[in-house]
Amino acid sequence: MITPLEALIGLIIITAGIDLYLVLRPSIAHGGGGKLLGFVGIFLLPLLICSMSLTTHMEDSKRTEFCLSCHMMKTHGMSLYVDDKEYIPAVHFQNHRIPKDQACFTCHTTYTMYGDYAAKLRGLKHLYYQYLGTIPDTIKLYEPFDNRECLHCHEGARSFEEQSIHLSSPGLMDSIKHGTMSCLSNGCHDIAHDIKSLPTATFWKPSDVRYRPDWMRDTNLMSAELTQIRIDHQFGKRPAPQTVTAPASSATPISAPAASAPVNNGPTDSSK
Amino acid sequence: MKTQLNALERRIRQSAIMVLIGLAGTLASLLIFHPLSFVGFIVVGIVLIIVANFYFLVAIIRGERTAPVKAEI
Repeated sequence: MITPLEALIGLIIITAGIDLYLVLRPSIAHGGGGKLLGFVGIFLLPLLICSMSLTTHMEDSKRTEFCLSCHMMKTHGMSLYVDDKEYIPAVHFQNHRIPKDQACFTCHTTYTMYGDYAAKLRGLKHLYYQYLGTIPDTIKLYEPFDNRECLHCHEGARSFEEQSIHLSSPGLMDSIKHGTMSCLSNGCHDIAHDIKSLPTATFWKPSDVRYRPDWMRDTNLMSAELTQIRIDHQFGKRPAPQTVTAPASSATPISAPAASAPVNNGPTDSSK
Repeated sequence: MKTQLNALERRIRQSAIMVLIGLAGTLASLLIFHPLSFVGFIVVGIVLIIVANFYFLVAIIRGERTAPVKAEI
């Protein structure tokens, strides 16, 4: 089965072949057939390729890997593995309530490329900070987190609609649904990524090695070291490195990426 | 060896070269997974291909009205 990317690459190669022929034999453009070939090779196919490539890039930018490719976001990626039911993103990620390969985009749908023009400009600003500017010590959302992001999955779900706390006072459900009461910032589900508590957090270690991120898979590795540096940078000091031995079910001891952060193999309860 | 390229041929060749460079940039941006890939695609791929498109249309519309230019190969 040919993937869309392979089809796109094939189309690029065919178009490049036509263009190469036009470069070497431009005289064919005098005839009607040559003009038609030029129209296809220089105008039609390149526009089609642009359109398909744009779609591919937009889809790529939804990937968790893409978001975490900026060094600043590594700690946010780590927070998805915190073994604590209070961590909203971690519970959603670990229990596959959100697609693992689009973990960030599912809850941050209006971020950078998918937002309005201002959000797109911010995305360019992030790139500038990443490569040329100074990355701020802490990062914040530009706007308060919108309930809409929660409701596009939870609205209509029995666990949400019949939750006793949501029905505890008249009008509460309406205010949640209309966004006048925030899900996250009214003391109910208020622990999101909480980067500051990562150095003391316990991490869930997936029993299947394939699902472990690089910083967890490798003990002495650069990614763990980079994460450590990031945390040091964020908290202003570098705590002493600590090696944590995983429980008996796993033979490999792993170096805690965040200082004093134990790793837990135990199952995480999906209920919250 | 001397060949004469008239205006139409010259413009067609230049358009095709621009598209080739644009396609190379697009292909690289698709194969290299990097935050700057998208920016590279916009700056190299899209811009060159759009410019080449316009240049090609100009070449077709103007045809061979311009005087031939001598080119040495």
